[in-house]
Amino acid sequence: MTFPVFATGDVLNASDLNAVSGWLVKTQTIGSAVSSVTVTSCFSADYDNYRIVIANVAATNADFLTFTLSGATGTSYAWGATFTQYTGTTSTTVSGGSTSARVAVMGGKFQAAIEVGSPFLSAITTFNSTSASDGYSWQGGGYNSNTTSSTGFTISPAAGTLTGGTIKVYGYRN
Amino acid sequence: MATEIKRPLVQIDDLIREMTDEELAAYEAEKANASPLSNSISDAS
Repeated sequence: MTFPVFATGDVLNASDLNAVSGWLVKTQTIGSAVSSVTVTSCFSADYDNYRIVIANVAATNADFLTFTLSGATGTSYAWGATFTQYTGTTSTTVSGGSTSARVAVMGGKFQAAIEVGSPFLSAITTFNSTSASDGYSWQGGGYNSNTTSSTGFTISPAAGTLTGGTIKVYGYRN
Repeated sequence: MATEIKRPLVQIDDLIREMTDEELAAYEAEKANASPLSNSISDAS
């Protein structure tokens, strides 16, 4: 047997399984008309780096989505991004630094992916993000200078609420 | 009859509840300090 193609009844060798790049750590369904969603116990010593996929979410407002780590709180975030409105002819650059970072531009429906580096380690946490909605596309990045370990995170719309969709957290194998 | 105040909802994993006093204060403070998307677009034009 040679990965990545497996056949029914194949022996799953440790060397093959250890070559798998990522594993699903947690799935969270988003409720109705919530102003924030906190996902707990998704970062651990099992993985250093993660991918958060937020998909099929309905937002009441076309506005920014903020991201906060659970343990590393404080005015320690810095971020920057470029987003494009589909009906426009130019992109807009935004940046900031506060108690949270912005990781997406929402629309009526949107998806976002956030790559998070070292959230559980006692080190600065870096992240980059992409998103697409029915009105905007987004590419951004940032970091949190607070080196406190985090086991989870919170997303929150800058205005309005979120309904439906899922958040999936994947861990990249170390 | 007293009017029930409807607070924003927060979700923690599968638990959904209204914000506490502290959460509501922090939420409103962050919203007050944040630049809305419309400003970001107009600032760049």
